[in-house]
Amino acid sequence: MSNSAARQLRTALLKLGLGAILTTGCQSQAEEVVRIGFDDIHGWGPQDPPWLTDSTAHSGRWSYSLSIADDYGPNFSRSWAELNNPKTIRVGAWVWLPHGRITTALAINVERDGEKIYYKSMGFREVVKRYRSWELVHQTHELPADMRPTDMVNVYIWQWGEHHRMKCDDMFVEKLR
Amino acid sequence: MLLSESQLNHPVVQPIRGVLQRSTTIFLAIALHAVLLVVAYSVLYAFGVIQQLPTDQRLLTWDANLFHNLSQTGYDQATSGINAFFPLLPLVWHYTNMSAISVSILNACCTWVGVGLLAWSFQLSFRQILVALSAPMLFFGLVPYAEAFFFFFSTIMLVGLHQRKHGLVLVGLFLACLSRSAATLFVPAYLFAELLWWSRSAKLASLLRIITGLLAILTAVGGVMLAQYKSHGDAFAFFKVHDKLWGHKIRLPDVVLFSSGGFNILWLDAFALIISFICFISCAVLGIRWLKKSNPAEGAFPSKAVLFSMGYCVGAAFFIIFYQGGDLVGMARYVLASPFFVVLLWWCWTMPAPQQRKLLGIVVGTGLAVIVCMGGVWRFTSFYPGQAVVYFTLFLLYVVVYLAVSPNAARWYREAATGLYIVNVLLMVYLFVLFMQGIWIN
Repeated sequence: MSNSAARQLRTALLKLGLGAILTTGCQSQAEEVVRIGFDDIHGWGPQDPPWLTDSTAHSGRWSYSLSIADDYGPNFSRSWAELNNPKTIRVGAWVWLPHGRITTALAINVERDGEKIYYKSMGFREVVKRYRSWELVHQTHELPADMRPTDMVNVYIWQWGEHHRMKCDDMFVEKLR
Repeated sequence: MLLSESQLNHPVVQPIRGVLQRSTTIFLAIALHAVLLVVAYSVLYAFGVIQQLPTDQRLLTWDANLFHNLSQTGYDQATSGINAFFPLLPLVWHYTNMSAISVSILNACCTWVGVGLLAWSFQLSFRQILVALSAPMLFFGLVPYAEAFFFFFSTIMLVGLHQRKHGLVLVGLFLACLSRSAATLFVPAYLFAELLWWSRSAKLASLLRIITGLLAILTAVGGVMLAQYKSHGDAFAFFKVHDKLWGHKIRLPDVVLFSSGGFNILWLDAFALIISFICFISCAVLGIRWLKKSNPAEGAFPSKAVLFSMGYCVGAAFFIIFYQGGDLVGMARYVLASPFFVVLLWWCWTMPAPQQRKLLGIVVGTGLAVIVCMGGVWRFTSFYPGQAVVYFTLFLLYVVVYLAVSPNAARWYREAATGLYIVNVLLMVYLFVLFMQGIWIN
């Protein structure tokens, strides 16, 4: 192979690679379809729920405190239609972790007639590297191609293994396309 | 008494001078690295950047604690996770009764002597030795893990392969396979290296080398199985623990590769994956060349040590990709904390300039492919596209700089080596501190 041909081949490969990286899931402006904080919970009942805390919060005064005894933290469900029929969503939350020895994840599943058709989770240990401060975590999901309006998208925080106290605030879902 | 110029050039004196110069260079590089590592740690501690000093308790974290338990109790239960650990380090720990700090110092010495042996055998320059010593994942050689023993004995095996001293190969294979569960990676790698060099010596000699090498590996594995059988009655406990406790079953990976060690390790795992992909391509090319030519010319195949290293990296990548469902964790530890990484670097560094330019293209191309496999810029978990671009750019830059640590590659190879060394030492200290804080790395 001549030098110029080799150079052209290298340039083509480089362009192809960069193109692939930049276009993997090219998207338009994100549209926020769910945002849940915990500031409106306080005062609704005679007693606040045990998980509600005002020791620290990402926004406002109140946040969700996942206790050592809990396997599951805050969760919400929306039908696909309520999320504005997205193909790709970004699910995220602000979390406050005491240290890096936690086994907790932000998980999402999609249910159709009680049957799970999609599941994915993101361990906080993989993405949070600063502790005792509020950190943003988020993950992008390609939903199944055959989603139906009644399919339920469930988002929740799950703790397994060794349990530790952590806090969570401002969970959100964004429609990317 | 000083020798005159003519005496120094005497044919008897010259080789001795060469040996002295070489050993002094290696010793100085290792001593400088040890001092700089301690200085970097001390300065960061003095300024409050690092909060902890190493203690026995802090060093006994993750697998280190399991190694310590194994040294105290032996293989006590068939279902326990300690069956996955091989017994050489626990045996030494048991009989010497050392503290975790002492074991760490012993491990550091093993790792550094191992790099010294590689430097001697493969004629590495002063800067190349420093770069080899500072590979960030070699921090596993500074804690009570089996990586240091594995590094040292694998080095002996590689030196034996490179210098065609079969006795060293056998000792290295046996003791490395007693240090870590590497037999499943070693068998194909060893066969690959020996088969490609088959026609270089008499058939009987080649056959004997292969049989004795495989016997050395099987003896080590058989010894561990026998020890486990005598302890709790289950000779296959090792395999069962991998299967049932850690879910290591063969399956296709997830679409997006990730690392449960987190994004501060993912780029090192991805670096190891790039190396393994390139090794896979090289193995395929060399294998086809071997099949086509019954009597290949001198220089058709690289050193047996390089061939073995390639085979090992391909095996490691196969295990990680197809047994961990897309979780790359362990990739960097298997590849970058091993002497095989150093041998492959040496192979790259000694290539002529035109080949190095081609290699640069292959490395960048493979790097981009790996980035796409990790989700690309838009799908990179918990990173917005701009952040991901910075992360991946720095990652590719770091990988490419490794190639530049050779006068054949770039005019600024000295600056590249020095810069890389400084970055690596800081990374090594960072990973060491994370480890002591009990944060899962690998």
